[in-house]
Amino acid sequence: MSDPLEALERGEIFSAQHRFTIMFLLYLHKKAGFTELQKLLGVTPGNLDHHLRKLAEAGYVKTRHVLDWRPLKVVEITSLGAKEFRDYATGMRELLKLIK
Amino acid sequence: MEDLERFSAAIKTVERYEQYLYQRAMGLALIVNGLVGPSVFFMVLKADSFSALLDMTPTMFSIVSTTLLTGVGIFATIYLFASARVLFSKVSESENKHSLPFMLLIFCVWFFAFFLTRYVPEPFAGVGWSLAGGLASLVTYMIMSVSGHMKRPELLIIGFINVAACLPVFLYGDLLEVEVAVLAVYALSFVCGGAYSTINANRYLEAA
Repeated sequence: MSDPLEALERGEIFSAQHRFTIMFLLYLHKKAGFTELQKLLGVTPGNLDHHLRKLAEAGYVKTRHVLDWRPLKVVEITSLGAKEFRDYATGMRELLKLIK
Repeated sequence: MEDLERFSAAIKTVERYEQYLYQRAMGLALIVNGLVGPSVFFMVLKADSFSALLDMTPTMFSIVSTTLLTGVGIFATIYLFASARVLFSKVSESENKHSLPFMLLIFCVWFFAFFLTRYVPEPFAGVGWSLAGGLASLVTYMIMSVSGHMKRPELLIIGFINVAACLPVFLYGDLLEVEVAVLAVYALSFVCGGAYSTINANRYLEAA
């Protein structure tokens, strides 16, 4: 397993509440609709787009358009994103154990 | 402390999302049940006319329709319970352990309610079907309320409508007409209940 402190440093991008929530949700469910995420987080489309772009630039998520009964934008977690988030969460847990 | 708050807020959001997914799955399962069940049952009732259209014997047509009905019923049940399993297994393992016996109990109620319709006399088959759906919905509502899970008012309404729709059968002479009317009520109540559940699911998406 990687060093917890190193994982936390790499996961600095998750320190924003919305980005952390998006990654946590995608880590559990693999994908979610853009509109669903927007409503869940209570943010504007622009704001959500900003967070998603940050995560996409790091290679943690990718978006794609699918055709349902209406066009949908779907956000998916990448394998790198899943690994980094798992390391980050594990690092947090290790640190909390040390504090206890 | 700040990190703990971040975790806590994320968990709450994910829980809302999972409630939303389950509500949507339940809505879809109710709609499928309401559309496919009565349609196939109607085809079995009118097997003579439909079999002539498809150039099949009425017996063969009835077997195909019944197989289709059973398949769709099993699919809808598995879909609903798989969604419930996903919902209760993700965030809280303790809640999962608490919920499993109730989920199995609900599954048994639905299974036996429809299984017992096999023993209903042929002329009352449609009424028996509707009564089974109505009573199973009412018992499910009671189990969910007593066990401290989400209360689903749509199940209560579907249950009452279906049970009430079966009562006129004892007062009315033409059984075939009553059967068709009961099946229509069954379809309408389940589709409306499913639509309500799906629309209501969006409530969980709205940020608190």
